[in-house]
Order: sequence, then structure tokens, then C-alpha cells
Amino acid sequence: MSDPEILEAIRNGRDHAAFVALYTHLPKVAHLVRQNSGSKDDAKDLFQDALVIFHRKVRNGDLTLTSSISTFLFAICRNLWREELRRRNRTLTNWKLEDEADEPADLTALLAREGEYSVAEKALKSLGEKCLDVLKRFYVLHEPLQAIAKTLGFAGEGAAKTRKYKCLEAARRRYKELLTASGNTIQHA
Amino acid sequence: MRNELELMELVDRYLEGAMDATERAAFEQRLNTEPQLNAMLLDQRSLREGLERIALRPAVTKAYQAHRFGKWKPWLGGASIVIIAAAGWTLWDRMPREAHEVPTIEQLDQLPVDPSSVAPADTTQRTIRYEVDTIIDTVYRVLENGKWRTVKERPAGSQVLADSISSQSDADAPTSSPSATRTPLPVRMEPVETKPTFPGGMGAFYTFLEANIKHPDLAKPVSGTVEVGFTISASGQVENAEIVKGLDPGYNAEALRVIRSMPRWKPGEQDGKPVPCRLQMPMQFRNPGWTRRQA
Repeated sequence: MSDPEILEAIRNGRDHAAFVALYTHLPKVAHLVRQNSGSKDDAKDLFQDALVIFHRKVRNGDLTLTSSISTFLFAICRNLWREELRRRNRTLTNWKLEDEADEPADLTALLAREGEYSVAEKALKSLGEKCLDVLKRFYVLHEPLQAIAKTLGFAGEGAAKTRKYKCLEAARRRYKELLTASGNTIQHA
Repeated sequence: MRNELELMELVDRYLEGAMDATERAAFEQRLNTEPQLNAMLLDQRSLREGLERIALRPAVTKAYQAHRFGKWKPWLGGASIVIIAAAGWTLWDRMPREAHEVPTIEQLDQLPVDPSSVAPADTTQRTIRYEVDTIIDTVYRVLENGKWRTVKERPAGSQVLADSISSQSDADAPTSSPSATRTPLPVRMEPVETKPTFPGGMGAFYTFLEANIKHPDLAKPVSGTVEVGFTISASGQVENAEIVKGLDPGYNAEALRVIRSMPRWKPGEQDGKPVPCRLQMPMQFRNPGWTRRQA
């Protein structure tokens, strides 16, 4: 798939096809990571984070690609990996800095925000399964509260609403804790 | 809590763009003056985004598996190559063959039979069939003066009599099709002594195939079976590899390449002497990735 085709696929909800096509860019990232004291699994996790970021940006319509998708993904991975190494207190002896000129200008701002999203992701994952289910149904799948109440066995719409509120509140508390713990630095899941 | 809940819903409405211009302006006004509300907005935006990301993860993981699957096409991947031993390996001794014509036993069985051609003294045919890991070694015998005698080569144009082997095998073994409608002929198969073996055994053989078969043509994936026949000579070398039943040319070539690249086998033996044996092996190429891509 060409770059425009991938973008089109994501906009039309054909995520699987798009992701499979995007994975062709993984080897380049894997090379970078393995050159810089990371493992194959590190590379995979990193790349998957980049895929999620990319997908969300396309979906939200706030992605301005100044170069190819490959360059964009690689720039994100390079930055995330640098942060990760910093967190691991590794020195960046081997760091390949050469083609950083092609990075999107707003990458730092982007990654700061993405770092927060990723903390939020962690916070949500620490919730109970049922809580996460309620929130996902409401916010991602946009199911009406009534339907959620019925599926998950709550007394009624009101109960589902309260549950949703409590869950989100719990997630928020956890999120704040995690943010404080990480000293507000960029993190990725 | 009531108040908090309402605020939360207000923030949601704002984030969803569900407010009209007036409401929006009023809300943004509040954001400027109420840092609490502003913080709530940022948190809620992050959490909602976090939820979207969590929801995306399974698709990302699934695609990774598909990607890996595709990457390992050479073996079990998007195109998996399954070696089916169950269908039966057919080995037979040096078949009488023309330069270009490669008769299989099946073909020979269909040839018109001339009883006078049966059993010249110097001809033998040995057929060895692999069934999963059990190889049935057979030798051809002919009826001569009321006595069964082992012969070196299968008589040209002779027909195999259904025998003990056919009683335990079935329709997928071409040599053992029911002979009720045929005229029984005085040639039959019997077990032989030692089958040819791959160095290290069958396990090593499969490992060898796994390690060496590359998916030939990623752009044109098809599914199907390639049947390769080859002879393990008396010295153990692979000879006369050819396609018995072909698929796409790319797959045929790959199957032949791998078979020809095999190391030397331990030859089959009859009466303590190494003898050339022929093997026939179906290789199934499957391509789930193809259907997925087409879908």
C-alpha cells in the first residue's frame, strides 16, 4: 500500500489492512533499537506505540505529513527510544544522530502530549475490568447508557451513569498519581 | 458529587464538540477563570485519548501477527508449506523411464497390459510407501512357473496386482486401487528390507525443509500441492528430481531447488545391498495471507 492508500484505509476504518502495511517499516526501527542497546521486543513495543500515535493523529485529522509515513514513524520511534534510554539511565554512546533534520518541527510538543496519553492508558489499564469496559463502551464505542446498563447488568441508565462517573474519577486520580510519579516526563507504555 | 458529575459531562460535551457557539464561548470563558475546570478538561482529554489507544491495541497486535505470519511465508507463514507424509510417499526402484517421460506408478497401472511382456528375468520394481512416519518397503515380484520370484525391475507396461499392501492402504495410494475389475497380473509388491533415510531421520528432514523452503513469489500467492518425485541413488545422492504434479512455476522451481539441495541420504537396501529408490512427496503450499489480502 502506498502512503495515501494507508491514510485512506485508516480514515475508512480499515485498520487491520493499514497496520499490516505499516509493519513493513518495523525493520528500520528494529535496527535502530538494536543498535542502541534495545532488544527486538523493545523495538516491537516501541513501534506499536508509534503506530497507535500515528493512527490517532490520522483519525483526529491533525496530522500534517511533511514527508513520508516511514519518516514520521521513524522520527517518533527515535525520540521515544531516546527517552526510554534516558529513563533506563543508559548513555547514548552509539546514538545515530545523522538524519534528525527531517523531524517534524512540532514533534517535541506532540510527544509531550502523547506521553500524557500513554500515562492515561496505564492509569486506565490499572482499573478493574468492568470499569474499563464501561468507559470503553461509552467513550469509544459510543453506546448509549441504557444499552450499557442492559449489557453489563446495571439497574438502569442512572446506575450506568454513576458507574461511568466513578470509574472515570478513579482513572483520573490514578492518572494524576502516575503523572506525579513520573515527574511529568515523557513516558510511553 | 452531583456537581462533579455534571461538570464532567459538560467537559465531555465540550470535547465532543457537542456545544453550540454560545455555550462554547461561555465554557471557554469559564476555563479562563477556573483553573480547576481547565485541569479537568486536560485530564479528561488524556483519559479519553487513553481509552482510544487501549481500544486500538488489539488491532495493532493482530496486525503484528499477520505481519509475522506473512514474514514467515517460507514455512508456515502466509503461505504455509505443509509436507503431508500421510498422503503417502512412494518410493520405487529405478523405474524404466524414457528421457523425457516420467511414468508414475499410477500411470503405469493404466497402461494396457501385454501378458507376454510380464517378467523378463532381469527386471524389478520396488515400491516403498511412507505413511506418516511408517514406511512400507515393497519389492516387486513376478509369478514364474507357479512360483513368486523377486525381480530387479518392474516389467515394462506391467500392472501391479492388488496385494497385501492394498488391503491396509486406501484410495490415496494409486498403486493399490481395487483390482476387482482388472485382470489380475502376476506382479505384486512385497515389503523390502531397508528404506532410504535422511541423515538424522525424518525429523531432521522436515527441519531441513522448514529451514530451506522460501516462498517463491510473494506477488502471486496461490494454494495447492506440488508433488515432487526424486530418486535416492545407491550412493545416496538425489537424482532425477522432477515435478509429478505441478502448481505455479515459481512453486515448482522452489520445490525442485530445495529437493536438489538436500544432503546425501543413506540409500535404501535390498538383500544387504544399496539400491536406488524413488520417493514421491506432496508439498502443500497454503496461503491464508492471500485470501486476506484479496478480501
